[in-house]
Amino acid sequence: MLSKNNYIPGVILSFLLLIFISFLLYELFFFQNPKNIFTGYSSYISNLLKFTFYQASISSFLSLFFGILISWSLSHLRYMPFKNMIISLFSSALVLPSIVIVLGIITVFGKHGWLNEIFYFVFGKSFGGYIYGLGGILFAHVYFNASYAARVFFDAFKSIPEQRYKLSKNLGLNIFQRFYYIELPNIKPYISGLALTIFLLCFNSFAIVLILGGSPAYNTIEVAIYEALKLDFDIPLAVKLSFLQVVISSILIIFISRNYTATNISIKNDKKIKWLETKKELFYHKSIVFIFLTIFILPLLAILTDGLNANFSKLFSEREFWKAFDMSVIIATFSSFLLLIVSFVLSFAKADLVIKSRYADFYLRIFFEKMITLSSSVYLIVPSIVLGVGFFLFSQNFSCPLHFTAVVALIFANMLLALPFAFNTMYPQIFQIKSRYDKNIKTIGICFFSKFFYIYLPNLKRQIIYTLAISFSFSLGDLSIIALFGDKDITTLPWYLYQKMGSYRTNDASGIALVLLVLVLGIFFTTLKAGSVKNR
Amino acid sequence: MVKAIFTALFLISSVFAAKKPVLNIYTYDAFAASWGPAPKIKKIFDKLYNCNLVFTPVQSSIGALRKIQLEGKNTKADILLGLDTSSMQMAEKTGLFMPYNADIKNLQLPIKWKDKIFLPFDWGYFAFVYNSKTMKNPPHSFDDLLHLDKNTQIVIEDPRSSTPGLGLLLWVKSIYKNRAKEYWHKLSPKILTITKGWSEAYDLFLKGEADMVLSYTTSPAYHIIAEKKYNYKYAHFKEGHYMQIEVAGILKSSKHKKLANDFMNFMLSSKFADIIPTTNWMYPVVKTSKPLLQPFLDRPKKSILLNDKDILKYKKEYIQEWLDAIKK
Repeated sequence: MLSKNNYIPGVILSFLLLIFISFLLYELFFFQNPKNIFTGYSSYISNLLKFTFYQASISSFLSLFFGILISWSLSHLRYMPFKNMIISLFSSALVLPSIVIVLGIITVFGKHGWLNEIFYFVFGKSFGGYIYGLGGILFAHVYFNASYAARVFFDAFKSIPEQRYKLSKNLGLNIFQRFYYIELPNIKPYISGLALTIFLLCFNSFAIVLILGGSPAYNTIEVAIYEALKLDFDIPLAVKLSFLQVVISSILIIFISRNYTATNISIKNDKKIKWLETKKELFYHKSIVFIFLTIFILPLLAILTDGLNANFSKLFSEREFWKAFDMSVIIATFSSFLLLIVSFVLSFAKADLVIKSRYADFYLRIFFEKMITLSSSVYLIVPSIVLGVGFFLFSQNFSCPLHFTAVVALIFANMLLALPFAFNTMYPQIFQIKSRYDKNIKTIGICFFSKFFYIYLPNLKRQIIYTLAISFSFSLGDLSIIALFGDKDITTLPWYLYQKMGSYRTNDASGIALVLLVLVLGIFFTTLKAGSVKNR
Repeated sequence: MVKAIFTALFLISSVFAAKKPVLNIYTYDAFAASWGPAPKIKKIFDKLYNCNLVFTPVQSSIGALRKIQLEGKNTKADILLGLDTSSMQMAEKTGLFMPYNADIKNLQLPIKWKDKIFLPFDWGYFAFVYNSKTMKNPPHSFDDLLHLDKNTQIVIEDPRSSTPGLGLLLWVKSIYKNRAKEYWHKLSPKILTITKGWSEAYDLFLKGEADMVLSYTTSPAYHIIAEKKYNYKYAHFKEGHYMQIEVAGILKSSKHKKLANDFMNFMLSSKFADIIPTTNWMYPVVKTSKPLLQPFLDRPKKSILLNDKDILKYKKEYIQEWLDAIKK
């Protein structure tokens, strides 16, 4: 009977995923001499840990602070031109390729950047090169994560019941008292989960630290793993650091899953707060939004203006550019379709299990369901650099050609990177479809394929488009695994861009950056419009 | 029958003749660049040995070694060119290289060559290079470097990936001995950034991002001879300058060992030596057909080179010390 075994493919798939990851981890930690992992922790490693934690803590604190500030101001501005556009712009931060934004940040805030040039012109003095090192890392982390946090908190502010604002008005609270007594309790549930998520993202940060760190003094564990393998070819050190990374990420994940109060707060009715703020307060809100919007847009603008000055006829005639372009598109396409299949099968199985557990609770079913959820977020525990080291050792131990391993690793890693997002988008909808139609389907008794084509596909259109968009954008902009495997033969657009930045071919670099930005934003906004799926 | 065999042999030989053997050399980017020695070397060597010499550029020479290690048994490389006396022991330890077969009696080096696996192809001295237009008081010692003007910043290379970076590490070590860590700690605020290879660092310097760069005593010769610019100079350090001898070695996994060895011998010819000074801007290892141009004659008075064995033994420790010291 089909209905009985509906969850089997998903369970098998999630089992295979977990087995594969465990195999890579086994390969990583025990194919080598396991004693190695637990001995020889030098001051280098403890310094590395210290800096990674320090950097991630400040980054998450600042991101939360500014995220709350921006969303607070935004939610109190009743009439604001382009408000929806601004919000969707902030939410696009999630998919912006970090290497492109970093290039934009350097163009605006670098030693010879716009800001310094203006200051030099006006005051005859410049700030110098403050963007390399800790300052730059923090700036870039806050750039991405504050916008992400602002997006989440904006919804949280909007979910505050109108009556409470009424109450605050009646009590005559000023805006700070109102924030403390009325608004803070409402956004509090989101803070801990979001803080930990941002902490994890900054803790695992790779591309930003690689480019803006400027020296080993500012390394995260991820970058140190990369350097151990690519600069020192010190496999034991790379393995040791990977082990640390996995252990710490796992602990963080456990905390996150405990503290995570569903982020998908979808508020249909955009409540307007009835009472206008005073003119003074409105002025503050406006200035806050204006300042952050400017900081957010300037690097994008820099990519645009510099990119338009690039010599495209030269760039487009380069064979290497097209090699990188083709590889990027091929990897993005394969990983996106793989992702679609994996996320569908997993969500389908989970929905099936959840619905069945309503009637009879079997321990096995609960176990399967947990297993599927775990396998969908496996990327958070095993970040791509660790995954890359695992793949690399695999290719060494089984003398598999490096080129082939690299392509497989890239497709697989990009799929895993987008899987948590895809799963969270697909699952709720599939759950709804299943609970709505399953009984009818049983009565009609149509086969699985017609069920899929007539019922699931039409109802999942938006989710599929959204999943493809996220996956394409992530995959196109990713600079992590490719940094381990990349060279003249194995190349993608972000890697090619990184090479050009490394050799200070600024003109070519800004051209490639613009191509990447247009591709990613193009895909993201077209699909948002096409599907008008709730953006997050 | 005989005719058929001859025809077959002819066909086979013509197939082989059409496909010249390819000799792959992995090297650092500046060597393989269009303005570097590689194109000129290829032109002569291809003709002499009827083959196809292919240079694969990597960001740095140690990076090229890592590429070979990463590729493992499937590497295409026949020769690795660009390591130096400070990094070759590390390469020898990998067991991936085989001894050369060449007569080295013509070598003209400041030291006697003993290594059986790696063979030198050029040499020079490390030095900090500056622009005399913008820097009026260049440092004359490592101590001066610490007391430079507050806004003056230098760019150096990472000792884990680049031979100049490793050279500087050993240079400082040979002068400061057990106070080297302290020295690096004091120097770290002056370092703008640490690059993976020499080209990156030199580009940053020429763009004006940094005031000084770790390069070679022969770098100014490039600006004088090729660009007629006289404002780039190297800072004479009274402690002496660390020496670099760049080397090449044959991979055990090479499918063209004979041809690779021919290349090693070619490196010791005057044809090769004539190319080196004005393309790689280093000193040749054998006599050139014409005397060296004037700008090459400004040599440091004192030179330093650490013992090979010490380097192998302590390199890891020195790098660890350096990593700790530059932490802020």
